[in-house]
Amino acid sequence: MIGNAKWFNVRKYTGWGLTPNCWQGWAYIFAFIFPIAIISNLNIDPNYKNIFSFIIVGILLIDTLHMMSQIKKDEREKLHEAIADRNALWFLLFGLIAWGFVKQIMDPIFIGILLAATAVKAITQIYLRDK
Amino acid sequence: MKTKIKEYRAKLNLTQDQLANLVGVRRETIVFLEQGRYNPSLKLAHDVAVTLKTSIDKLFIF
Repeated sequence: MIGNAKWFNVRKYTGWGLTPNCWQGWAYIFAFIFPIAIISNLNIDPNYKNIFSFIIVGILLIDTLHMMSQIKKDEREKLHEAIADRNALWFLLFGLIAWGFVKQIMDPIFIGILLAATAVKAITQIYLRDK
Repeated sequence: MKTKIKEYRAKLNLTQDQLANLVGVRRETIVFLEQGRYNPSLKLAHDVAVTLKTSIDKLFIF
């Protein structure tokens, strides 16, 4: 992998993901932003721009997830993170459903995502029950 | 819940930071454990007790 988990802290109070804690972390972020900025300003086919950006963001996402898995948390931090994520999820869920009712949205993708989330919960419960 | 972690830690001349490193948690977790404000898992309670050369029932008073 490209980045080093020691360059970052896990975000606790400002969303999800990682935040740099040293110059190497900032350099890592700029190393990803810089090529996208350059390509965006080049006079080339927009499809190539999109493909290039997609590849860069994909690499960044995979590397970030890998680094996040490398950062160790103790049991108290894990518990706090789980509770915070659960609360955020409930807010998101109720917010989306309320918005759907207000706007009278019956979008099949919207419903599908809600059903998929239900399935993820069920799979997680089954996995944890048998673990 | 009350704990005697601070007393046992003092007997062994360990700082909170050293104890945290020995049991593999953050110093803040040791602070909250000492204040009785965090209910640890059985594994963490065991690890702390072993590190402080005592037993769980002597360390944690419910």
